[in-house]
Amino acid sequence: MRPPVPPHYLSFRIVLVVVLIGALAGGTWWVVQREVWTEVIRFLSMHVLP
Amino acid sequence: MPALIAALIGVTLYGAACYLTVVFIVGPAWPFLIIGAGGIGILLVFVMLAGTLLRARGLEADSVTPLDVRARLPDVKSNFERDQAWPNYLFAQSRSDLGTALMRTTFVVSRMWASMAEFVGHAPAVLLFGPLLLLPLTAAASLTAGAAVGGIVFYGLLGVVLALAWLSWLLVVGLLRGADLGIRLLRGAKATCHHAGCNYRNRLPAYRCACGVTHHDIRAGRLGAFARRCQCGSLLPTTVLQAAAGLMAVCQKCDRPLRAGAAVLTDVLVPVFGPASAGKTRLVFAGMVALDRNLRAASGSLHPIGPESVNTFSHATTVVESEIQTTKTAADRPPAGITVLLTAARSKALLHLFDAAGEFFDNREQTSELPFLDDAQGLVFVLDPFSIPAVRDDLTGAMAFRLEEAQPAMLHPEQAYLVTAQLLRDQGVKLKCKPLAVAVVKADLLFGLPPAAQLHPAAASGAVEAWLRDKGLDNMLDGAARDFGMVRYFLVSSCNAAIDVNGWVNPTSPARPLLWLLARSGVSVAAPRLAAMP
Repeated sequence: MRPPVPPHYLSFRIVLVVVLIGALAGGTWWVVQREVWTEVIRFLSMHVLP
Repeated sequence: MPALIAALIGVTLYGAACYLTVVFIVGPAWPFLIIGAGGIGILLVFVMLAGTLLRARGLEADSVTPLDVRARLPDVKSNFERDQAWPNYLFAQSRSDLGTALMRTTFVVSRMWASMAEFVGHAPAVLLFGPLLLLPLTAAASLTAGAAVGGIVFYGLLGVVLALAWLSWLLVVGLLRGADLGIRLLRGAKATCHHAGCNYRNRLPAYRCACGVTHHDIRAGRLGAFARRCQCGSLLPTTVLQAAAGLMAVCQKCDRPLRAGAAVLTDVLVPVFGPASAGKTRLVFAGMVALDRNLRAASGSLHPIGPESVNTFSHATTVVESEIQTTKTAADRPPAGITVLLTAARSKALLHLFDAAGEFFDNREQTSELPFLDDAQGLVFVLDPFSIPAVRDDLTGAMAFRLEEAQPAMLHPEQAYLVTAQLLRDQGVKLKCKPLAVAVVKADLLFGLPPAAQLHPAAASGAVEAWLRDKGLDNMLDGAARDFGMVRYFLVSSCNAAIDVNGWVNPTSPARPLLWLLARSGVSVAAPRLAAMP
């Protein structure tokens, strides 16, 4: 059985999850905006493909 | 020969197949595998962290409960172990959450590598598909790298957030503790245990929660900045000023309840010392009653705090108003303090009067049982003039009955003083910072007798001192002047309150030594108005 944790634990956790989601969303948005995917694939293709 | 040719063909075909696999399968797929597996690695860290923080089933971390704080938080610099309350998230649970998520992520990645190794170990034939094995190998390596990068980024970010929260906590705790202590220092507040045999005194009492658990350090800290949660779930304040309003303060030494207002109101501790039969109890009784009347006349009040003090004050009022004899103080146990709450125009204070049986002052071993002597704001030394040899010698023959009537103390006042003063010096008490009120009691019996011919009821401190020197107490008086920061002499008549109906203080009122010590402690009781002597 889970112990009844104090409410401020939940507040801190929600803040941390929001920070995580923000970081992931921000990172994804940044990658998409800069077309990093395309650049990475091009770079890898040039050096990896025989 | 045919077998050799067949082998050569086989090797050639295998080599060609490997080449074609690398060129047409592994090569094109490699970049996408690296990106995809790397992304999965990053997502793995995110899912583990978010799942742990949101307490998803199977991913939740163990909760750090009040029972764990002693093992999970650093020890406190105190005689007691850390209080059992829910710790602030920043100090134990955050580490538990992030640590659990990291452990589970590491487990998943290492389990993936172990499964791959196990698979190859169980079916070594798959090694023949060497080039194709590059695909899972690349994916696993990319996933591991993605998890490492994700870990560094996410944990770094959460670390920064937690560090900022920690700095805010540090600021809040510092401000709260500073304001709490500063206000109490300015007030001169302390917690004095009034219980016989304890008398412990400090600035920080323990507080008892409604559930019965005692919190020895209620201040803001790792167990909470603005409030702490007891293990029973109750929210408790984190400043002494707030705690005193709703919680029961208890002594850090004997764990018994303290008086209401302990550690938040100005706390004045005045021990009354002197030899047996000197009239200490009478002075305390009459002094309290006189102080009560004086305060009432000055629009203030005096209230005994606690049932023992109420009983003592009621008894003192009866004894003083009826002018009956005071019974001898029991010498078989240390004294309990009498606590009264003084409310004057501009201040509120707790006054603790400690009246120990005179036998405690006969020798140093017994005096050491009186810990309240160490931390007093000022002391009252009760000097029975009838115990001075020069006075006794003058009361012989027809005057002998006056000596008997006075029931003089048997011990020489100098001896009682020196024993106590030496004990205080030995214990490192800075006497130079403390005032001493020397109350020459039984003044009502002394006036009119030949040895007191030079004394007048309105005699000032200097005149009383000169009279005592004249009676041969130079040694004691010089010692007192040397030991204490300030010494004042009072002629006191403790037979009654010596205050008239208007609250005017008779010059020999037993309230005067107390009023002087209160004023020295910063308690601004209205200045006593002296009644004109006939």
